[in-house]
Formats: sequence, C-alpha cells, structure tokens
Amino acid sequence: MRSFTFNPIEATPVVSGILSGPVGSIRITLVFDTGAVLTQIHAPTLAMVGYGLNHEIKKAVMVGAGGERHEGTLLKCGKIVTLGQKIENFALGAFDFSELAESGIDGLLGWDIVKQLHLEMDGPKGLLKVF
Amino acid sequence: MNQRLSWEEIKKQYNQQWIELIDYDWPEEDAYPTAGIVRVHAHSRKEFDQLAAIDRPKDSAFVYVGRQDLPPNTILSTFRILEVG
Repeated sequence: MRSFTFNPIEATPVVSGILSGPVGSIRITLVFDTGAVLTQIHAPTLAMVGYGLNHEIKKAVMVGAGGERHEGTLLKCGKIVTLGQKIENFALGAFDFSELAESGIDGLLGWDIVKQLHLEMDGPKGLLKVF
Repeated sequence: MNQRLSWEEIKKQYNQQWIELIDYDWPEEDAYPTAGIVRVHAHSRKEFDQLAAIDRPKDSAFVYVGRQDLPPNTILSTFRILEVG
C-alpha cells in the first residue's frame, strides 16, 4: 500500500503525474475526477512533450454538466505515471483547459484510469491510499 | 532565476503564478514539489504556455503556486462526458 497526498483545503483534490511524450516529459497536476469519463490534459501541455496531429485518433467533444460543449481531440498517449501506476498507450482527451488552468489545473485524471485502482480516500487527512 | 529554491521560497516569490521547474525534487507521493529551479513563470496560463514552449527542456514540472484561484461565487464542476466522431 502506498499513500499519496492531496490538499483537502483546496477546492478540488489534485494529484500529480508525469506525462511522457516523444520529446520529453513534464510533471503536471491533475484533478482526481471520477466524474470525467476520460483522462484529459491541456492541449498545449501535450504539444510541449511532442504530441501532435500524428497522434490524433479522432475529433472529440466534451459535454459538461450544464450541456456546454468543448471541442478537442482524442489522441494516443505513450505514457503517464500517476498514483504509483504506469499507464501506457492509452487514449486521452486533448482540450483547451485555459480557463481551468487559471485555477491551477492542468487536466483531469478521469474514471478510465481511476477505475483501474484499488484505493481508499481519507478526505480530512488528504490521503489517497493505493493498494 | 537559475537559483535553486525550496518550495517555501517558491511560494513566497511566485504566489498565484504558474511556474516551470527544472532540476526539481518532487517525491512521487506528494502533490507538490519540495525544491527546484524556476525556468519560466507567469500569472496567465496563456502567457505561461507561450514562455514554456521556448527552448523546451527534456524534463520539467508545471505547477500552480498558491491556492486555486476560482472566480468569486464559482463552483468548479468537471463532470464531462465524451462524444467522438
């Protein structure tokens, strides 16, 4: 079992991950978000590690809780390491998170990855225990 | 700006800014780094993206320093479903 920390005082639980691409890697912060069906990352951040048109699977639209629509792309990601797990060659969403980014968020760690984990959350202590 | 700083020093100098760290220490279990060299910084994410794209290092870290700065009377809801086609 490993324990990962988040700040329970913040508006959202944020965890970190290392995004790797063809030309490098960046450690980023992601909202631990079981309500997002798919992991999504700020498109300019993805571009900085080398993801581009040749990694695109198809166009995608994200629909928020209020029905608002955000256009982006679904692309094949080489690797992300987060919460002690290495996830490779998976599809993620590339969207412009500029508005969310102003709130300190680089993307969303979505249900597609979260559901692979056996974990326990201690909210008041800001701990995610991964078994 | 090539001085290695502790996270406490970074928080004092770059509050409410996006920063890129190089030569950083960030324990895998922690939500935030413990130290690093600030390569670029900006209050706006758009400006930060432009600066960080120049002379990209092979390995770095992006961090927002300080509390999440949501607009007043705003509740962040990220529930999102996907349509592909």
